[in-house]
Amino acid sequence: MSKPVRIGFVLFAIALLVSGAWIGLAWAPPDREMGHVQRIMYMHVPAAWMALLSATMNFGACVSYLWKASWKKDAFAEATAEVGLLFGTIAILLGAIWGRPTWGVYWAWDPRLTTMAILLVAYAGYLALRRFVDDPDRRAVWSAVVGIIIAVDVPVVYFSVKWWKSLHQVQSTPRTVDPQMVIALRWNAFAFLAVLIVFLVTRYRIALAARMRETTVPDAPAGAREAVAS
Amino acid sequence: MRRPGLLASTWVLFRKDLLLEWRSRARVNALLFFSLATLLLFSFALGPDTALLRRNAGGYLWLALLLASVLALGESFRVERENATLEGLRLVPVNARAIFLAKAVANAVLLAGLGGLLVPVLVALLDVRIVLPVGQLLGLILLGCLAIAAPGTLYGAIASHARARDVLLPLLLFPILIPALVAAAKGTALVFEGDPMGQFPSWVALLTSFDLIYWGLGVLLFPRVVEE
Amino acid sequence: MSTLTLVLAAVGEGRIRGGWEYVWTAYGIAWAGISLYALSLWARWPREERK
Repeated sequence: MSKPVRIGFVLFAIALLVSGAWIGLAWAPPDREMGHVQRIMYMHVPAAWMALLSATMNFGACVSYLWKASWKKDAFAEATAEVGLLFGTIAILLGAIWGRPTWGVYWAWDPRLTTMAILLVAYAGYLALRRFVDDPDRRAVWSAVVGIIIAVDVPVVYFSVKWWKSLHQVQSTPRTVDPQMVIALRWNAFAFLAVLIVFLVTRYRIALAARMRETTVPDAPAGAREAVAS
Repeated sequence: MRRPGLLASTWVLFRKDLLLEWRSRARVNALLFFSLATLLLFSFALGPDTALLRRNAGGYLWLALLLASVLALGESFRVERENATLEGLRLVPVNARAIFLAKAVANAVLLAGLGGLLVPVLVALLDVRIVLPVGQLLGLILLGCLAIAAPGTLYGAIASHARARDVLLPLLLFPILIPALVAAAKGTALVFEGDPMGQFPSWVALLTSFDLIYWGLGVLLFPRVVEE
Repeated sequence: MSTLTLVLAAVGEGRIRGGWEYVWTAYGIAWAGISLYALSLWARWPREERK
């Protein structure tokens, strides 16, 4: 990707984000019950979608790496984990802020939010593992294994929390019906997707550069050459 | 030399792991006393309302087992690491899957034994009654410990070769185990309080599915974890 | 803007009145998170590529 294209896309993402904010904050109508608090959904839902999308891509990269190893796949796995963690954190925080005026509490063990919280801790562990393993090959294999285990766990976690919660009260979930709300949501979803792409490509390049630095043999220091010659 | 079969290798390695446990009985005793201390801590932190303690006893049991498992799993691999036995085992034509199965089963047996010993403690300390058949409780404990042991052994092997291994193991393990923890704790609570709505089989089903998935993943992925 | 006025007239602002503090906090967190991460990416951008 050449530099002008890259810069162009970044500007495009920013434009989508800014216009999406205006659409969400000013253009879209307030909700019949939630009022203006509904507007938080235009950020919360796309963030959650991007987090799940990243997690899915991470799973794909991990499986693919174990099938046939490549530094590109490992770098991509690292990128998706970190960027997914960012969007997931935003989603969770915004979900809690939305919850306060609507549910009355910041947290109510909602299955989706709870699964997201567990997923975030799991990926934090994944990134910690990457930081604590120095050998690049082992780091790549082990994080691929951990990534796969995390991904397989997500649906199990979701169902178990849903079950566990259903023993108590049932929570109302947000529903967007008004067509203007649907447009606002879709626009912001595309904005977040554009931001996701920018972040992933950039983080991938950073990871790949680090991999190259780790795996190329450094030049012998000047002193060693003299020592060998004598 | 003909390569020993999977089951034969597993059995030999399993006996080795159990023998090591037996020879270091002091370590196993320490684990037991650690779990007792944990239960005491919970009682002090969350008591003295005995009704409340009794209602949450299932949760306390599994939290104590979870915390003990981190120590047990860490120890299990520290021994291997200090004697470079994993590398030694790889030189012998032993299937890596056998290593996994043997270690995971040994860890599960150790934890289940610990769990069984903690039940009378719970009865005495937290005034817990066992309403459902005891066999169901013991079966549930075994299933839960199998759930801890499979990813625990996998992650134990990884963490033992990384930096900050004492923190890394629980950090990796705990989020994954949450469904198993929920199922085991809820099932145990039903054993202690009665099950009028017949929910116990559902929790057992969840736990069993978890076990099948994670033992499968362990057998599949462990060779990649220990290969050079 | 007339669409908005019409909708508001029909629907009212909702049972939850106001709540703009929550909205601004939420949007602020989202933008701050995205900006700070973008900054961290820029700081970590490999030296060799800065040509």
